[in-house]
Amino acid sequence: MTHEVAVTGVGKRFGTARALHNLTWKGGGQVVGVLGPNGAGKSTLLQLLGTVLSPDEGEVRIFGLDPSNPAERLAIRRQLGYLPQTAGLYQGFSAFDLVDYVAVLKEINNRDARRDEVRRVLMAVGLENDMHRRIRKLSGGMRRRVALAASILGRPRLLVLDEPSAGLDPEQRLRLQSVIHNARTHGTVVMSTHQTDEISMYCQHLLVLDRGRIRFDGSPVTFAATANGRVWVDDHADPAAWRSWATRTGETRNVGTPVPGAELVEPTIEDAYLLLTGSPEDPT
Amino acid sequence: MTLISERPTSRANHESVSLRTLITIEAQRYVRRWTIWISLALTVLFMVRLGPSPDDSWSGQTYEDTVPLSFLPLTIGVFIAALRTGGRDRSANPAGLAEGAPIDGGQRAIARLAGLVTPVALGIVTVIGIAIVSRIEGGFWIGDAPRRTDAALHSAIELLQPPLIIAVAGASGVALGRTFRRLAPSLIIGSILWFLAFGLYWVWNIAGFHAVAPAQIQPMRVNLPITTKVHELPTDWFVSAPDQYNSWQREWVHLPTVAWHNVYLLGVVLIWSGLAIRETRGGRLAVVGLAVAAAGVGAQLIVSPF
Repeated sequence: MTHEVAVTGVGKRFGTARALHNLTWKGGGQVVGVLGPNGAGKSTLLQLLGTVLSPDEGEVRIFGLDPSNPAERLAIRRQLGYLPQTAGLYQGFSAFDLVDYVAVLKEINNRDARRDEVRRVLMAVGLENDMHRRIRKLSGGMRRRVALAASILGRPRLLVLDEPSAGLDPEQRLRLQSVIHNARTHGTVVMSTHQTDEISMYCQHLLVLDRGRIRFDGSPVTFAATANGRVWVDDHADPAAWRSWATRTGETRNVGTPVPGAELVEPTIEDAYLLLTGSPEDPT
Repeated sequence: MTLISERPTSRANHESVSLRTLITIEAQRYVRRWTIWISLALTVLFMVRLGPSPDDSWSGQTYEDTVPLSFLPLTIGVFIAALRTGGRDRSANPAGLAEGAPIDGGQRAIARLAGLVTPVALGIVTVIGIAIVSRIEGGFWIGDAPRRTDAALHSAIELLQPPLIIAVAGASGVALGRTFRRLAPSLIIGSILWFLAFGLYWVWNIAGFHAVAPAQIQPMRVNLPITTKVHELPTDWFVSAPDQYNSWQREWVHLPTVAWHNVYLLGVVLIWSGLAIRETRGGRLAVVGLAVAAAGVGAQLIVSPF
C-alpha cells in the first residue's frame, strides 16, 4: 500500500546540530499533529514534507513520488500546500494581489477561476473585508491568515502547516478548525504545534517529536492513555513528581510515578506530553 | 447542441501559461513603481532643458547629452525598481514566498526579467520621442567650421542604446536583488556605480574603455595629425578645432562601432539574466551572454576608428 507520506530513516543536520535522527513514519488521509518542544525537529520535518528541504540521509516519498527528483517534485508540488513558520509575504502587495500571485505560482491559470479561488480562500480565513489592504498595513494575525489562505489554494491533496495558529485570536482559531476540517476532506493535513489543546481540537493522529526522534506515533486518545495511573492532584507539588504545576482550581497537578494513596485523575494529552518529555529516563 | 470542452493541456504548456501570466503581473507591477516614473520625468526634464540648442559648450555636447547621457535618471530608476522586485523574496523573509509552489525561483526570476519589457518599452517610447522632436527642431550641432553641421540626427542604431542600457540596469537589479539580502546597501552602491558609469564617461573615451562602457558616447573624436589642413579634408567629415588639449579631431558618428556596442550590451543583458536565473539554465545563458559580449567588444576594437 502506498502511503500519502512516507519518511524512511531520515536524518538532517544543520552544521553540527542534528535536527532529525533516523526518523521513520508513514501515514496519510488524516489530520496529523506534530507536537514537540522547541528544537524537536518539527519545522525541519515539515520543510521536508513541503519539498523545500532535502534530507541528508534516508528518503522521503510523497504520494509515492520522490521530491529529490525534479520532475517528481514538480508533480508533488502541484498537489501540495505548505505554510512555513514564517511566510515571506511581499509587504507592498495587497492581500488579494499576493494570494493571486501565489495562485499563479500554483499554476491556477484561468483568470476567472483564479480570482474566484482567491476570494474563496480569503473568505475562508475571514479576510473578505481586508483583502485589498496592503500586507504592511495588516496585523500579525491577519498576515498569518493571508499566508494560510495562500497555502490552501487549489484544495491541496497534502497540506503542511507549520504552527498555523500562531498569532491567531480565539475566534480565528475556531475558523482555523473549519479550514483544517475542509482541507482534510481533500487529503492529508500535517500540522505542527506547541499547543496540546490544538491536538485534541484538530488532529486524528499524533506524532510527538523530541530531539529529532519520534517519541510517539498514534492517536491522541492513545497518547493521553499512556499517562494512565501517572497523573495525580495534590494541594502541593509532590517531590516524587517529575513535573508539577498549579491548576485553575488551585490544586497542584503532578505527573510521574505516584506515591501510594495519591489521588489519581484522568490524564490529558498535556499530561502525557509532559510525562514523556519530562521523564528522568529521557534519552539524551 | 454544441458541446464545448476545455482542450487538455500538457504539463509544459501549463507551466508556460503560468509563466506568461506571471510575466504580465510583473510587467504591470513595474509600471506601478514610482521610481520609474520619477526617473522618467527627470530624464525628460533633462532633455527638455537641453533641447537641440546651438548654445553648447563644445561641439557634439547636446548630441551626446541627449543620447545616451540623459537616460541616466531612468537607468537608475529602473535599476532600483528591478532591485526591489528581484529582492522581494530576500527582503521579505529568508523563507521566501510559497516555496513549495510548482513555479520555482528560477522561473520567478525569468518572469521578473521578462517583466522589464515595460520599462524598456518606456525607454523605446522616449527615444522615439527624441527622434521625432529632433527632426522637427532641425537636429544637433556637430563639428566646427568649416566642417560643421547643425542638423545631425541620431540614427536608429544609436537610439537603440538607451533601451539596451535600461535592460542591462533592470537585469542587473533583478540579479543583485536576488543575491543580496540587504536592500539599502545594494541600492545605494548600485546607484552610485550606475552614476559613475554614466558620469565619468569621458574617462572611457579611449579605445578599450570606449568599447566596454555601458554608455558609449558618439560622436567619437579621432585625433588628426597636427599638420592637418582642414580645407583639404573630405567635405562629409565633421571636425573640431584645435584647443589647448587637442589638435584637429574628426568627430565621427561611427555606426559599426555603435552597432557592435549594442551587441555587447545585449551580451551583458544575457549575463545578468543568467546570474538572476541561476542553476543550469541560468549558467548556460550567462555563458552565451559572455560570448556575445566578448564578440561585441572584440568587433568594436577591430572596427573602431581609434
